[in-house]
Amino acid sequence: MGGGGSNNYDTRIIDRLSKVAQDSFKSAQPEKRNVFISFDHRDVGDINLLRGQASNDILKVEFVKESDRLQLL
Amino acid sequence: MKLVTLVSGGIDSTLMSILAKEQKFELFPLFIDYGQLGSKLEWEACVYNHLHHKLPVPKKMVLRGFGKLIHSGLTDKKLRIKEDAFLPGRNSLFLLSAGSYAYQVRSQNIAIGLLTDEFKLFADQTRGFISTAEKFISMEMDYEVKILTPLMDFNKAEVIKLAESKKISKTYSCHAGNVKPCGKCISCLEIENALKNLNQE
Repeated sequence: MGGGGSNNYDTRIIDRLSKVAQDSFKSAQPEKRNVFISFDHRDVGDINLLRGQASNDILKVEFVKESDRLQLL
Repeated sequence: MKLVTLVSGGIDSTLMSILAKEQKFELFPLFIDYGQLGSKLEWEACVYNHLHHKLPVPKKMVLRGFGKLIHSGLTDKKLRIKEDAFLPGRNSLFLLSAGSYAYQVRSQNIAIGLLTDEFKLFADQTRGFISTAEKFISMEMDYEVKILTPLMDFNKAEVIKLAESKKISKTYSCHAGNVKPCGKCISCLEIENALKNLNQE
């Protein structure tokens, strides 16, 4: 059930409702893709470059430093 | 972007799915059979509307044991259809199931067709509940999931207005599960009241 009838509502109302719904979808979150990067300890310049990128709040890339969590054998 | 839509064959979730499609989401519709009395007709309406509006065919998750053990007017004919309508854990079950499905299809978004919580009947229909559920599911799976509620600023009359503009018809949401809507359950009364309000406008 539901719907029914054949009312012709004001198109401005329909447009406003559509806009409200469209806006709510904007909070959707894009899919994440994970990339694993491994560095030699001598590549400290490259590592610092990534550290700098990680501190940039505008960049839509999230950095996770796994070496803090994983003990390398 | 991928989006798991919780669908029931009713007007709210059908509208939500069409709006999501318009926003170019890749839809993964999920219907939950939790042992509700109306499950057969809900499923039929759900499939019909998805085909009719060129949406992907929904997947059905069968969890009928839930409703068999947890009694409510929605799952047990012996109980009162309106007064005993609360089914504890229903929306949690929906969201957790959708979360698991989202994890499987690698979607980070779930959508549920809840309406405004201004006139909420149950605690699991509020923004606060959704926010907590989002944190719980993300923590439980260690996988970030966003729960979208695109109709949460809508009342039923507004849903009906927008649904008519999208040519939505042949939805089903009566809790009694009869071919002819009972006119007594919360769902039927909600639509009846909304139509009355619309006719008075």
